[in-house]
Amino acid sequence: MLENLKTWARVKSPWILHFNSGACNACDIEILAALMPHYDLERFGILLKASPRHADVLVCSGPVTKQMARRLRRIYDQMPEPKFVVAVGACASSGGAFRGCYNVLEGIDHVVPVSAYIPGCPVKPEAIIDGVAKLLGSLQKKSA
Amino acid sequence: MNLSILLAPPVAFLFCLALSAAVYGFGHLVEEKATPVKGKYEPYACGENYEAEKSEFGYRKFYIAAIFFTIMHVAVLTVATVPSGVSAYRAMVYLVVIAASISCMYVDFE
Amino acid sequence: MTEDFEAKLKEAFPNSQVTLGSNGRLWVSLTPEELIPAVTTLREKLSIRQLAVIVGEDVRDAFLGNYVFTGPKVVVLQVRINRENPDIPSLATLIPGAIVYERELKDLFGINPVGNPDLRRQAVPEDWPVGVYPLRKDVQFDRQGEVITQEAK
Repeated sequence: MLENLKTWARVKSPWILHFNSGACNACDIEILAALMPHYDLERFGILLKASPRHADVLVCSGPVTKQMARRLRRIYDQMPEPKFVVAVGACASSGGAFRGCYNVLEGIDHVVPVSAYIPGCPVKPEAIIDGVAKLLGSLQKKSA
Repeated sequence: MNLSILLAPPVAFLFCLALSAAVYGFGHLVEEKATPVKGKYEPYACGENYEAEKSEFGYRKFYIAAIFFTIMHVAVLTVATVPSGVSAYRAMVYLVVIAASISCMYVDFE
Repeated sequence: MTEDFEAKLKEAFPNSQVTLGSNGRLWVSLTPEELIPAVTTLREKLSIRQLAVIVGEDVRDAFLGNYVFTGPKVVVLQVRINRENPDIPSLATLIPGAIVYERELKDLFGINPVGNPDLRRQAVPEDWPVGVYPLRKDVQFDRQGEVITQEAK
């Protein structure tokens, strides 16, 4: 019964931290557009927080530049368990337009373990909603 | 059974202790294990290492203002509790002398 | 209008080649020694006062530093920098805003701005190896960002 309570609380109000690890900002603009009233991610209980200490989900865009890799890992470590990572965009999934460049690690899964990949360049807000809904559905199913 | 025993300080204190233990205990029930990574316990500084030395400030100016406040307020309290019959003007002299002596702290002897 | 400005530019820089680009920009080719006098002439006599950007290029036998100046017209001073001895005079005393662009040139090409007061790392991470200049054409990186060939240093 306690497990049901925990799952219900975590699935119904995932608070996110948005992090840009060297992206061109297009995916960041789309993430913010998804949070605004037109696409309204906030109806899932999602709140955009400013600190990793308050967040459950790390929403990360950008191919990880070498300068950002250490900082991304530190921020991921500073989130309390249970935590999940969503890779937004082609760059965060596999390096995208910057694959093969001298200053990037290709994709954030070289630095942090990823729970969901959302493709696109930039991502459509509908795709972000789809990815988030799938992530929450998988959490629901994992506990059931 | 006189229920006003519950308001007695020892009983109320133990009740509050039990209540807060219950709240924290519930927190421990629903928590998940934390991975013991060193970076987790560092202060959050946008991913950077936090250098505490750079954000310290000197307390001198604050101390001077605070001690002035304290001494003057104690002096005023002394004056306020003076027995009746003593002239209030002598009390004013007392306060002026104290204020003048504390103001010496602001003089910088270099 | 651009044509008579081109004529004015040609008379201000008699020893240098002045060309009109396809997008209306005027290009002046210079050597590194002529850079500071040219900038002074542009700013004082022709009232092209604002430095927009400094763009570095690696054409195989030299480096090119394109100093884009804007005013009523856009003039690009193209400085041809020797590959073996990549020193250029710094614009830091004339235009303090140029400091950042010159740091970037130094990090990415190895072009040394002589007289720049601030030579910290600008465009590459702090732990980037010293002496590896990423935008040079003879440096090749493998997928992990390790240098696999690097000819000139």
